[in-house]
Amino acid sequence: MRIKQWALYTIIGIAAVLTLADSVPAQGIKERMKERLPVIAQLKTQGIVGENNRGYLDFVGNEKTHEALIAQENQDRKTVYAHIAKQQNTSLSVVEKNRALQLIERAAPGTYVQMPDGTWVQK
Amino acid sequence: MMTLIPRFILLVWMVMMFSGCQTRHEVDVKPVEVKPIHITIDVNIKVQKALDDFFSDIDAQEDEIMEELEEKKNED
Repeated sequence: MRIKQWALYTIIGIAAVLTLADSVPAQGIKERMKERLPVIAQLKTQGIVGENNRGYLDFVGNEKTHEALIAQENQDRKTVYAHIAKQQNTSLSVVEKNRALQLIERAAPGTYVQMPDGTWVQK
Repeated sequence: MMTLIPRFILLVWMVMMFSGCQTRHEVDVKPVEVKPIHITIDVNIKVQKALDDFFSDIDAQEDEIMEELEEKKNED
């Protein structure tokens, strides 16, 4: 009876550890992304940055501000995409392209997005 | 022996006649290529769901910020 209980607790413990391990990259990144949102939204409305065709932020014109913040955002995005790719047993590029399509779809009017053929358009 | 000859001739004639009726059909069976389209679609659906699971609240928050910026822009 005690062995059965011990085995059950062990299984529950392992499941909990695996669940937490699976969401480890998610939580911290999510908070950082949310903190960056006001600046990114501002840059998007100003037409300085847009969503490129690989699911990352990119400078649309020659004006470049907050480069470090954009680089950090893209690095965090890449980590998330890689995690999803591993989780879904697919390649990073598949995840990147899917996210890019989502971003094109949901982009706010007036913001810039890069189409799959590489051209930048203002929505 | 005399009866065998006409029978033999008849047999040869019949063989020749029926061999003329023989038809041959050659059908080229090309290997069927099954493209895994459904697998690709399935992967994309799963990937999009995983992306939605992670980004849905971030996207919603961004939409709110964008709306606020749009309102400010209109006020100015």
